[in-house]
Amino acid sequence: MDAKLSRRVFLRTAAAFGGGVLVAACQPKVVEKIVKETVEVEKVVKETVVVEKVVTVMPSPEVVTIRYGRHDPYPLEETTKSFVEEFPYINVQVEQIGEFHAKVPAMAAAGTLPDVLRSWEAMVLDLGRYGQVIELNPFVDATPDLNPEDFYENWWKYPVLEGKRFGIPDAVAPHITYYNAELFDEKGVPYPDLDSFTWDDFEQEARAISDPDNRIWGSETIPVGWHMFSVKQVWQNNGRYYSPDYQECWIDRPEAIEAIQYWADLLLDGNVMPSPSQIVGIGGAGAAAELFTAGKLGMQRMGSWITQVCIDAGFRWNIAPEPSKVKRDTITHGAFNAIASTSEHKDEAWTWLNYNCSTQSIYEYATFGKFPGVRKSSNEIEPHSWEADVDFQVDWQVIPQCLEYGHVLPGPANEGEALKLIGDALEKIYSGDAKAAEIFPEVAPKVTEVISEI
Amino acid sequence: MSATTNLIGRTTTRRKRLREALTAYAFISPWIIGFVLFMGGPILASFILSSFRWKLIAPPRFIGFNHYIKMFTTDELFQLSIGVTFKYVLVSVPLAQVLALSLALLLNQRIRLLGFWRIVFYLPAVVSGVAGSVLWSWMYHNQLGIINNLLLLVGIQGPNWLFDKEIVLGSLIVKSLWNVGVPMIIYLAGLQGMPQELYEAAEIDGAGEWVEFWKISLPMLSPVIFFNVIMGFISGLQTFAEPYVMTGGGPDNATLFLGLHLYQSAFHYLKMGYASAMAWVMFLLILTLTLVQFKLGSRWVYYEAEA
Repeated sequence: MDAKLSRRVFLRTAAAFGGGVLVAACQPKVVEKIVKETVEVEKVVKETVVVEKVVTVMPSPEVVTIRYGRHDPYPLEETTKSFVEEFPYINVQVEQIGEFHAKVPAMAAAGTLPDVLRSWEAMVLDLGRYGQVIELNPFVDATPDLNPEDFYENWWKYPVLEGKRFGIPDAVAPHITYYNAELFDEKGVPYPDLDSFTWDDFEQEARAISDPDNRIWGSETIPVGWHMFSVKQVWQNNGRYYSPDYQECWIDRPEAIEAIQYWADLLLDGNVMPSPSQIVGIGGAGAAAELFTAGKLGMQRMGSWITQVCIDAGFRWNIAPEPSKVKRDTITHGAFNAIASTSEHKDEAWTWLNYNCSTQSIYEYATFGKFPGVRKSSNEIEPHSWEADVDFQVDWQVIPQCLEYGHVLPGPANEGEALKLIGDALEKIYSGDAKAAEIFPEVAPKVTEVISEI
Repeated sequence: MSATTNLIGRTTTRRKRLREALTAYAFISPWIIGFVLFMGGPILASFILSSFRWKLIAPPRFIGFNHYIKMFTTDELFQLSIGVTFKYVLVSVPLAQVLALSLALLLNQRIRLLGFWRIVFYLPAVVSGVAGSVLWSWMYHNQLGIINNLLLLVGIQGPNWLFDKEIVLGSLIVKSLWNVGVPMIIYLAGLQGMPQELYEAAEIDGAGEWVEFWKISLPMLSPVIFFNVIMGFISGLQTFAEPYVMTGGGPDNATLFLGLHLYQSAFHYLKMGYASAMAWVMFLLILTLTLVQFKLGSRWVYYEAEA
């Protein structure tokens, strides 16, 4: 039989198909429709009600103005702005005090010292001795976030007399050795060793570089009028200008005599640094001070504030610690913040002082001056405040390391007169008119008499 | 006239005089008040302070005459400064008088551009002490100064004028001679006030110019010379600006003048009482020297009025 579509098959198939369609069409439709239904719900009602309530209202603090005096023109706008945001009831008036050494004592005599005074090392001790600034111990003890361990020890300990603290330090510039790397390379002299740079190394390297006939020397000359420059030489030989209690002058001790005479002999030699007669030939002390940046010196021992000047000089340089003799030591030069005893707002003055000596504030000031801060926490912030942007290798770590071993300039009573006596003696020694061993024993008792007269 | 009228008259006169006196004092009172506040008062205060030890930052402490005793016994710098000051004055004042008189004689001639030359020689006198000191510091500069550069042109290597302790005082003396304008003008005025009949009489007697100068000009000028010498000593003993600006008292205290030591004692060492005592000693020194000169002056100063 042929497979033809029969009528039966067709009708069956059609019936099945039609049945399927019919079933699909009869499926219930999904219809969305709104159904009203009564449901129990929780009703939230907002309603304004007047409630009588007794409250204690604190009066807003009266705005107090405190004066902050400092000698340098550091722009404090950012610091004072952020301070006022945090302490809106304290207004800080910043004053730059020129002729600091004469003006501050005059202000003290007139009773017009600023509430907070940023003062040099010896001056803050003198002001503390005579009651012109107050003891800060109660404020420090009452400020739990002021951690003394965060400060470098020598700087934290310095402004304390008979257990009374008179100042809080902020930033500091240590003395280091800057050296002209290009001149060292030209002369084939090895760079100063960062770990063991001694006086003998210094002399050796300086002599190797010196060429006085062509006005090139290995080292800067000693600034004879800057009497404090020589104190680090005495420290490096384990000597001191004064006893720790500043009651005696110790320059007549062998360590001090040896130290000063060593450097005087180097100065007078003429083949290490410009001698006094050679200084005349190059235009005097002022010109001698610029020899390093003029590329005429191998090394210059100076405060880290000359970093920018060296960058502007345009040659490749690097830094090393001060050379040492018996021990590593150097000057660390900075200032302290103190509160005047005549201040009528001592609490507010402390609030500002503490803020200005905080980690961030110190970091901001230190970055401006290219110094390290006196707080270890401020020196951990990057980029480091003492570093500058140069395209050659500089051993920047030398700078903050100085704070571990360096000392603050001494601060005896009647410092001006004492320095005059010491300075006159140094002038004679450095000009070759006298030997340290002859003159220091004469001068030391006179200095002792001056500094012990309180 | 009755007694009553006399009494009324005298009372009226007294009242009138009193009113006149009060009016006069009222007119001069601003000066008196200013003098008391800014001169007399501080002078008295410094005298009192000279017997105190006062550091400015500590309260004053009475010590009597200790400052004066210390000055003349143990303060070597004070004694040195007296020596430096007197050396300076004893050389600079006579030199200045000779130079001023010589210039006045020259400017008393009938020469061309006389007015111009008088201005040129007087001009340094109107330059302030500090400005003049800065100017001379540059002139004395070892490398850049005009003096050494001019000397170099004739093959001479100039010294270090301000840093050689053997010659630095001489450098300051030379600088002081730049300021002879004021005594020069006074000498010029004196020369122009000379009675001409004396010169005519001398000419008739056959006196030459040199004799005329020694026998007529100088004696007639003696009061002017006397005045200029006294003023020269007074200002010389108070020299401050030149050593302060040019040398700072160095090198090795070779130019530590009394005025500079006084200033350093006050503002560098904060010894206000001691500085006050030094100021009074300076005043007494100047007063004594002036009185001595007045005493000696009676022997050689010729006053025409007395004759």
